[in-house]
Parts: sequence; C-alpha cells; structure tokens
Amino acid sequence: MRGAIRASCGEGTEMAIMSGKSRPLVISLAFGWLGLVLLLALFGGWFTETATHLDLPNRLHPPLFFGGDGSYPLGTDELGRGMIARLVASIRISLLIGFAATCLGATIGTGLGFVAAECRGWIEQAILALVDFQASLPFLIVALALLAIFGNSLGLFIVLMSLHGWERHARVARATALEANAQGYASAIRQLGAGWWRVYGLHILPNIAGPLIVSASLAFPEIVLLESGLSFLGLGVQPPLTSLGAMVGFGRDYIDIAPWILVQPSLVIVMTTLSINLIGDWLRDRLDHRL
Amino acid sequence: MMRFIAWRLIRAILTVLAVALFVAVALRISGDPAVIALGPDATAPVLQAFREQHGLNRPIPMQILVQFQAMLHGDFGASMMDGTQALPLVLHHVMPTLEIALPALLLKLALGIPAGILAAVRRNSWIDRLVMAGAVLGLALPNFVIGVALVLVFAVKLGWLPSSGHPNFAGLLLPVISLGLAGAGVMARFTRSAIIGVLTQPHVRAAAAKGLSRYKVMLRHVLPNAVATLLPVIGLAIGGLLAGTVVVETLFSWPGLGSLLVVAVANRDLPVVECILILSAATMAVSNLVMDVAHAWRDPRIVRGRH
Repeated sequence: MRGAIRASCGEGTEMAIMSGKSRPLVISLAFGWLGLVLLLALFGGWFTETATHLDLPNRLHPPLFFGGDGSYPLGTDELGRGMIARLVASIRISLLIGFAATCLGATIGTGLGFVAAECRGWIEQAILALVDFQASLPFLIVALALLAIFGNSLGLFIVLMSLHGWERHARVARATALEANAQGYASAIRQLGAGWWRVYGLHILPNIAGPLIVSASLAFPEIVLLESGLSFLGLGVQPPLTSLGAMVGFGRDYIDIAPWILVQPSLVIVMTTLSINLIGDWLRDRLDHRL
Repeated sequence: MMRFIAWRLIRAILTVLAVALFVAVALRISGDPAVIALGPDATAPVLQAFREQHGLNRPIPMQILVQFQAMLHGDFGASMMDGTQALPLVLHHVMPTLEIALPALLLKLALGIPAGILAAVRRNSWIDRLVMAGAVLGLALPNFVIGVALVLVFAVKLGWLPSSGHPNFAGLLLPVISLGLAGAGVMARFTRSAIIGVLTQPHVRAAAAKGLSRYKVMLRHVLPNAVATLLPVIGLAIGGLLAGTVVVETLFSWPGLGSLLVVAVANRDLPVVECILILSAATMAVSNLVMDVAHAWRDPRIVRGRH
C-alpha cells in the first residue's frame, strides 16, 4: 500500500516533465475552470435562491441548441427548476464538503502524526496500527456502514468524509516531523524552552508544509469523488440540499427523455476533479520531490 | 519465513476482529438498540422485555463477547427487513457481484498492464502520452459517470445493449466495462512507473551491455523486478473485489452485494450492513495477507528487514 502510494506520487514528477510543451496550457485551463467553479461557489448565493423554485409548466425544458429557446439556457429538470441554479447550488455543496472534509482530515491526520512523532513508544505504535487499520479497509463500505449506524446529516457527513485520507496525512506528518526533529533547529528551540505547541505549530509545521499540501491535494479530489458517489447512491447529501452526485442520481430516471439533467453535473464533476488532479500533479512537481 | 507468515496471519485476523469490535462499539454509542429496533413509541415494559430477550441488560463488554461468539457460528442476526438470516442473505448476493467484478478485474489487468509496459518502453512517444492521458482521465472519472456515458450511448441512443441487469452476456458488458475502464488507467500508470523504476537501474544496463536483446532484457530482468512493485496494487484490486462494485451495481440495478448494501444502509438494516462490512474486510485482509507472502517470496529482504 505504502509503496503503491509512493509510486503514484513519483509519477507526478514523471508526468510534468514528460508533458513538456503542452503543460502550461493545460494547467492554465485547469486553473481557469477551478477559478470559475470557485467564483460560482463563493458568489453564487443569489443563484441558489432560485434553485428550489419550481416552474412546473416548464418541466424538462431542453437547453439552448438542443431544441430549447433561451428562457432556460441550460434547460430545466423534472420539477421545472432551472439547471443553472441547480448546478451552482450543487457546486457550492460539493465544494463545501470537499474543502471542509479535506481541512478536517488534514488537521486530524497531521495532529495524530505529530503526536506519534513526539510521544514515540506505545502511543506511536497505536497510531501506526490505526493508520494500517484504516488503510487496509475499503473506505466506501466503512462510510456506508457508519451512515447506517449514525444516520445522516450534513455535519456528520462532512466528518465522515474527513475520515478518508487522514491516514495518509498522519504518515506524512509523522515521517517529516521525525526528520525535522533530527535537525538542529528543532532541538535549538526546545533548549530555549519552547513548549511542544510552539515547536510543532510555529517551527516544524511551516517547514514541512510542502509535503502536507501535496497530501491534501491528493485527498481533495478523492473526497469530491467519494461524496459524489455516495450522493449518487442517494445516501450522501439529502434533499432539499443538492450536490453534483445527487443530481446525477436523480437524473438517472430521465436518462432517455432528458439526458441533460445528468450529463451537465457529470461534466462538472469530471472537469473539476480533472483540473484538481492536473494542478495537483503540477504542484507536487514544484513543492516536493521526495514524495 | 514461517514466522513472517504467522505474524501476517495474526495481523489479518486482528484487522477483521478490530472491524467487528469497531462496529459493535459504534452501534452501542449510536443509541439504544431496543429503541432503534422497536421504534420511539415502544412502552417501557416492552423495551425491558426486548432487552432481556436479546441480552441487552448485561454489561456491554459481555454483550460484545456474546455477539462475537454468535458471529463465529455464522449468526449475524436477522435482517430487519424481512427477518431472514443476514449471512445466507449476504452470501446469496456474492455470486452476482463476482460475475461482474472478476471480468472487470481481468479487463483492468489485461488492458492496464500491457498499456503501462508499452508506455514505459516507448517513453515520451504518442503511445506514452495517450496512456498517461487515459490514466489521468481514469483517475478523475467516477465510475458512475463512465457508466452513465455508456448507457447513454449504447443503450439509449444506439439501443444495442440493455441498460440494466440481465444475467446474460449482453447485460454483463456495460457494468464490466464501466468498472474496468477507469481501473485500467490507474493500473497502467502504476505499471508504467514500476517499469521505469526498474529500467533506470544499473543491472538492466548491464544486461543490455552484455548483448541481450531488448526483448530478453524485458522478459528476464525488467518484468520480474517490476512485479514486486505491482503486487501490492494488484492485491488492493483483488481485496476490493467485493467492495468496488457498489456504485456500478446500483446504476445497472445488478442484484449483487452492492445493491443489497445500498438498500440495507437506506433502511438502516444493521445486521446486513455489519455482515457485508466484515465480509469485505475479511476479503481485503486475506488478499493483503496473500500478497504480503507473495511479495516476501519474491523479495526475501522483506522478511529479514522487518521481523
């Protein structure tokens, strides 16, 4: 497992070098798309007011260029809700979950990794056992089991998603913190009397931020995909909230008469995760040559 | 070597036990099982009777021990939906899942490994770029999107193949392809980096220098060494056989483990969920064990290095 992850990460460097000339254009396109999506997520609030507005006479209104007039440029869904507003509302929720869960997971993982590096002994062994335990389970099944046990709400769902990938952050944080501890600056600060909070928070964390950002850039698209998968199954984000995966899931019933309902959110998912992966590869190449 | 295997075996058993313990504890802290089973309207005497009947008035560690003992005898409790035993119900759904998961795994390996080797050998050529583009796309595409695209083209537009579960060859095609394609991209990427990792080593240059043909260098020196790197990845793929099909099964209404799990989760049918979780954890643990042993057999340094 560890070897596998390392191999995949090493690939990032390979790829960035390999792509040669085409890289900057693809990367700027990816940045452009992500910027657009982020803008929509941050400032799209006024769209989402209309996301639950029903226009029943105009149900399944086709998009422009597919037989529709301009009244709904991307068409409407099975309840006559405008696709643009639905998409923006979905992007907001999907990105919120992705960001919140990635940050939470990175915090938990880094914290545990630091604790392991600081305490050593049986605490370190226990944390490493937990890491191995998590890595040896199919996470989708675990997530589904926890949803069955605890029920579902947005807050709980975010916490659940943050459990994905914490073990990778913990590994990276522990390994790099051990490395940093062996260097002069950490022991110098310790001998000046700094507490562990100061040592880790102010001195070690900034020095190992690169690998941690890399690890987060791997986790983020995975969490977005996981969320969309669970929501697609109808077990993730629940109505009246909506997410990209949930839109595909509900649109499935209309695949033969109104394919745009599920094609559009699918495209948004693919473009977004593709952009993040491409940028992640590129970032990995810049920030960290070891991983 | 024996010690290594024994140690790994203990770890595999511990993993499965830990999963069972984790579920049991999570269940106990999520609420009173009697209230969950009987609903919030049940009266106190009824709840009390239920607790006594199911041994819920005993201390919690005792309850968990009793539950483990029952599990060892294959008793995971009855499904809350129709009262059938959870284990036979779950086992009944394993075969349909394997019917699509095994061909998908084969497709993944048969497509991904040669593509990866080709890309590594013809590095920086158009083949390499094509394979890597496919790999990046495979990583970014959720398999339900591939599935939806396939249904849209081959079932809705062209009408060649059925869009939902028929246990015949035509019905198998779309689920298998949607599962296998994305995995093939990832597999190709791993293979490519494993091969390139070996190709840059001095012993490969030495083999070429002593006059072996490229084909023989590849077959005798590169591939055997790359296999060691690939084994854990293949192990993960095999371990995930039962767990990986959830989304695709639901998309194609395939009557396997995944569909059962989704229905069970939606209805909070805990015995069934627990049974599937432990079954897939056990699959994963066994596959990891086998791959670890295979890895150690290929590369004895591992045995000496760790224990």
